[in-house]
Amino acid sequence: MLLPVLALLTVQPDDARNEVSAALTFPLPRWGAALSYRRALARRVSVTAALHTVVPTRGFLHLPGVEERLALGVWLRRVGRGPYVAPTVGFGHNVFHKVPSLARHTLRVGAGAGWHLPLTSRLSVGAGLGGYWGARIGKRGSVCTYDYQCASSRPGGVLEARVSMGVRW
Amino acid sequence: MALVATLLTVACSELPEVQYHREGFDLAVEFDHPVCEGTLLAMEERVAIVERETDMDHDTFMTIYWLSGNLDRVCPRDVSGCFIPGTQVVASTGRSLHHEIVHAVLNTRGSNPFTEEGMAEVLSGVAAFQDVDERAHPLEALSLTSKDAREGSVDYHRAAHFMHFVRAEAGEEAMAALADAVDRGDGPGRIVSVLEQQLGRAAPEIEDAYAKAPRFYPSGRAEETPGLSLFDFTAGINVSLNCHHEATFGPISEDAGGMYHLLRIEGDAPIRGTLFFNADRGVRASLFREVDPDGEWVQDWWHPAPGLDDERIDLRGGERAFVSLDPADHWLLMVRSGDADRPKGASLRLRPAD
Repeated sequence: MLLPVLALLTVQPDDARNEVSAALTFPLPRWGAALSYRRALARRVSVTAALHTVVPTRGFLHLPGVEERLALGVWLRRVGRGPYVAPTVGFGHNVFHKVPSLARHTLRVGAGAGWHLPLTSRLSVGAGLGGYWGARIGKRGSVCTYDYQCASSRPGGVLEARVSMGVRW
Repeated sequence: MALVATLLTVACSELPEVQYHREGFDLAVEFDHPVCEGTLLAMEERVAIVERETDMDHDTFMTIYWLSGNLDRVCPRDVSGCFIPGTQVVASTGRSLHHEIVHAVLNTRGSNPFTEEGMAEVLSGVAAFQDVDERAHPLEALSLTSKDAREGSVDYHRAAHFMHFVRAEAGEEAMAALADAVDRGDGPGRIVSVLEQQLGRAAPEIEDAYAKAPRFYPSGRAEETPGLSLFDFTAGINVSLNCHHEATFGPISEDAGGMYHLLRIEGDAPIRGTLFFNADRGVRASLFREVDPDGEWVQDWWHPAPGLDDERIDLRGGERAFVSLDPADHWLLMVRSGDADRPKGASLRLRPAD
């Protein structure tokens, strides 16, 4: 099992256009995780779709949250290598897990910047910083009395750091 | 996401849809009988009263589920009502609705169950009895945890009586300070500090003073609804039993429906006379005491139970009764069975004895 995986990771692709990555995120003062798929559109332009969740505050596990985020990456050298900037748009949600129709939704826009290093032809690591601003969508509902209870759909500004590891092909 | 939420809702919840949109809350009920205007207004008033007394303002907007059973769909297991921390979601089988509404306004989170439950009882208008030998070391109960609460270790009567004492001694300012502490999720040490500050005594002195507190604290409903004197009835009083009327409560029960009108009569002096009751068919009245003189029971304004009082007077339309009441507060309950839209009414008149 291990040998085929190592073989796959060491194959030298000429031009990796896709990447799936997992990230640890730090939307201050919380932390979370993200799963992303990135596709190169041109030599220096990519698009990324990500699912991002923030670990709920203690005592509020019944209000899980997730954010779907789209980013348009512009790379200094080429997609997947070196520095980049990426405007983003996202939709954040927190739901009461027993009555999912009771939810809070936000629209979030922002921008991130970071840097990616291919470790091998298949593996890469990255780090970045982003700033996002969210606004609640729809009328006030009955969940998330305070914003800290529902980080995934928190309105207002959020500063976020992240580190990631990805597989390219 | 919306699709996932919808599928999960259908698959897991099977909860009723919201039928009533009111100031400060949406109400979904799981029975076919209408919720009368007086009941809805009382719920609105509860929110306003608690916000006013505690200075809490979360831009409250609750979703209230009035369910006929199986609260597990919203609540933890084996409870008769709940408020979900971090939300403004309340679920109840009806009896504890006002208690849970108070929790929602206070944004309690289970960090100090004795304080939270005591405040919810007091601010929802629950009266309290407590004998002296049941009052030892109330401040030790502040150490009870949310786990203790789940295991049923929080004595609601004891918590209510102690909070009545705090409110009587230090007033609404104390309630507001405790509400802030609850909102912050303060632990027992901080709560004791708040009590010491508000009551102007050290902890041991608070316990000493509490030991000398009255055995009975009334519900507070009197402050919310001024009572009538039975002599007000000498000129005659007309009551409308129509679900759309602002003083009509209902349903009486989730199964049977019906509606009622409740009047509180302040008994400052003995009353003797003949009470005449005229009413449409299907309307009856009961006159009964608010508190048992022996301290065995006290009426719950949200669910009045005339049957508790062996000396109550029951009347049907066209009947009269001679009343001889001790100076004690009484309640007059007029009940109409059924939900039909056609308004029904009743009138009462007292002819005082010479």
